[in-house]
Amino acid sequence: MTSNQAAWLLFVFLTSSSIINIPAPLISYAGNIAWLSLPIAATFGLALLLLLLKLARQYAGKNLIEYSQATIGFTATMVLGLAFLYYQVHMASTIVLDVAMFMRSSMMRNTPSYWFIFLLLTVAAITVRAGIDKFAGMFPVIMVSVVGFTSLIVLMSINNYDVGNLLPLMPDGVKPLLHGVYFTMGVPYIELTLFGMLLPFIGNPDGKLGRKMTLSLICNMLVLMLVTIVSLLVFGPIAGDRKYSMFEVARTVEVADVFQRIEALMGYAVIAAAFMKTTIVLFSAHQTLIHLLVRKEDKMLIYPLAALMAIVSYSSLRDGEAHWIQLITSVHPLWGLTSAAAPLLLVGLIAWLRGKKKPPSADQQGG
Amino acid sequence: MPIAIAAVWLIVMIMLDLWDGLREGPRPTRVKAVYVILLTMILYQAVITFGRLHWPGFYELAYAIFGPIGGAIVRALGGKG
Repeated sequence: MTSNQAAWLLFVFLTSSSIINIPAPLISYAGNIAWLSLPIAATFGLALLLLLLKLARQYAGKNLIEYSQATIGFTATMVLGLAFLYYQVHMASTIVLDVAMFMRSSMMRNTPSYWFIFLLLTVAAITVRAGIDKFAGMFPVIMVSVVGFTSLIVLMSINNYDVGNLLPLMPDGVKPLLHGVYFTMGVPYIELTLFGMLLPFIGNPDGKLGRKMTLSLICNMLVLMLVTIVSLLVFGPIAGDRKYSMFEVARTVEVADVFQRIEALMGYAVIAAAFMKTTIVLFSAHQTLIHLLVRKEDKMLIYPLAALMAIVSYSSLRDGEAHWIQLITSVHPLWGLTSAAAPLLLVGLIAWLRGKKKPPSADQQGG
Repeated sequence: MPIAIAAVWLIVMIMLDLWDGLREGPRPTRVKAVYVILLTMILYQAVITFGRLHWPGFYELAYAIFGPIGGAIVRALGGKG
């Protein structure tokens, strides 16, 4: 894929399902200052992205597992790689479950959740088998429609905005803001570590790759800030109690008795966004697995991985929705921090120490 | 119904992978071993999901590892943990 496609893919990955799922929980934790959590968490995401890009330059053509083997050794890579894979299976399961929960609670109440889970993962698995060059070209087109419909809803609900809903900013001190930062670090900024498995697929990275990917991350942050602020403008602090606040915003749209009940657009956005993100996660998980097995290319493990994700997703609500939400809000960020971000930071630190010892040319060859 | 869908998925998946295996040539033993491990994990998760066994599953392990610290962080930040 090209540098432009990689930058788009990063935007798709970070923005797709977050645009729907982030605002409500974020507002419930951080209140009216929720929007400020995003730039703080995005700064951490930017640091991870720059580290990934630096490692990709240092170990050209290799992915996170391969340069982990070159820096911390095979055994440590196997342990950290399995933890990374465990996290990715959880991520994909969560994304499809979000769709199932959304559809069951809003648009298709009588349809059992397994239909959404199995069908979404089937399509994602078929797409992954088609190859990254195919979906890297296709996803920007779908993402334009998702962002377009969301923007349309943002514009059409202008009549419902109340700027007074944004105040007071921090009535309970700084802790809610920090809670918002903890949550948004987990979704979506730590998750961008998965791009360590995708960067080697950029055939001929140009000198502006870093700038383009940074721009993608900044655009993502602005879009997420926009939907969070819009949710607050329409509903105020109770936006946090609305499970899918942008869907609820879409329901309030009523322009000249013609444009109303346009929440179906958000339904489309949820499904399309989840499909894209699931595909990227499944692709990354598959790459992780085959590189742990020291294979370059093998499509044989895609379907079993997708099937495992599907059954894990289906079984997630066994202990009830409240338990599940608690797991996502308190465990998911820590899980990502320890299974994805910490190994990347460790590999980056050791690569940096080795780079200091060796001359740069030897580094390139040794990588 | 979910059992039927899962069963159809597994059968179709194995048939397609067998077809690919015949077309592309044999895989190393470690890939076949991981394939079997994944199928076993799917069946294990399915069995505990449909209530046949009351053993810990995918998320019980994650919750045991990260739950206490994650909950403590959220409580420290003023959340309900």
